[in-house]
Amino acid sequence: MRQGGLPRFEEVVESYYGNLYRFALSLSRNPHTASDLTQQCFLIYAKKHAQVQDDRRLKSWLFTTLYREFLSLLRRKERERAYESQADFADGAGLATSAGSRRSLDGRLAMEALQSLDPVFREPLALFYLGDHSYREIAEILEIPMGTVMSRLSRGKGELRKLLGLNEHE
Amino acid sequence: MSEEASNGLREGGGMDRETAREILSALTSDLDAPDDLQVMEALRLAREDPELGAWWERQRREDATIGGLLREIAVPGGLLERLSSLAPKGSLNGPAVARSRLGLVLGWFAAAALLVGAGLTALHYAYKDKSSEGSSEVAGDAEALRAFRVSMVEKMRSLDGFDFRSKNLHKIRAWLIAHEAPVGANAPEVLDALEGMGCRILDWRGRQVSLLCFRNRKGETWHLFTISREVFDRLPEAELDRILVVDERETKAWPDGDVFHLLVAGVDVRGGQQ
Repeated sequence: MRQGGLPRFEEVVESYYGNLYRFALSLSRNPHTASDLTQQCFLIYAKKHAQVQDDRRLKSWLFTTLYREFLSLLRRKERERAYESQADFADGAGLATSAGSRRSLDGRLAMEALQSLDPVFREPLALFYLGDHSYREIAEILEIPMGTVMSRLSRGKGELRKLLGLNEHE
Repeated sequence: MSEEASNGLREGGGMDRETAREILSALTSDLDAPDDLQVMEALRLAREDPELGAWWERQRREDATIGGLLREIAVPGGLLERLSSLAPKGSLNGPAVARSRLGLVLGWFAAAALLVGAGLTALHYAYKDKSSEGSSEVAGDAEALRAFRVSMVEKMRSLDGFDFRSKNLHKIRAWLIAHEAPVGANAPEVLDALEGMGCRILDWRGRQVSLLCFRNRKGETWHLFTISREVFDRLPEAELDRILVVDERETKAWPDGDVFHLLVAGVDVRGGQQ
């Protein structure tokens, strides 16, 4: 909510940089690329902050900007090759076993599981978990229909739970 | 399940359970889409169908767990400084904005008021007189508090254990006092009602910082950092009224006698599993 002026740049950074970085990490699967994407996102914000007319849209604007930067990067590097070459983390094959016990769950394992998912599931899930975005916002950011977002979230969550060993009650 | 959600109607016109699950899966809260009839119908089913309701409750707990775990991923050191250095000079330095989810803020103030007690008001006004002097030191203290907020949120995220564990906050407080760590002068009555988790003595710029970790009545974990008040002795009054979001955690700071408290709110996902 706007209360008398623009947020200070430093406050915007402090509020969002953590989860923007984690979102970038989930997309790129590479810490260096994630840092670069986060930096590029705030560089664009510094230049184009006037476009953000409503503080309530600020978070969505930042996540959308970062996502578009990621897509631009992929286009430059060719999508498939970039995905494969940047797989710094373990693939999902071993996760179901290692995450079988909830006691062993930690952030790194959860991120690896998310990163191992197909991008069509990974992207909406990352926005759901790291951005607290509603399905409507996710549809706007990813530019896909709301029904598709719902379906992908539902299926993606099922896949993620399998990898994390959280579906024993199903 | 199809890529596009179907109309999800059973024979007879009601929404089927599978469609309701798909819709409920996409919600971050009950209030996501109060104008969406499909969502309203799915929520109604979840209320009336015990099996579906239990499934959704479990989903929400697990979603909180997964979201919390993902947010534990540490951000590379130095990134914040690099990002802050991108600030355009003079163009984005308007008045501060307190962005906050209303419910959390209300709970926040309730807890903060309980924690600090009636003495806070008197201290606040005493502090107000002092902070009106105005100098570069004032700005320096505001900057230091900002750095303190960021640093404590980072420490909270990377915390790997407690120095002392107890569910009794009075025992935790006694342990901190015995170890000469900074704590408030008075033990607020609310400590009787809250569930403690543990404490840790940290360091910030060569000063001791007490971290006291507790659960509020909703089961959310809050972190209370306490440092000697002289560190922020000339803080501008406006800083006390601000709830600042740091890495999506709400933070609130206030003086209490000879110490300064910083409360960091946030939902603890592991708490939801218990």
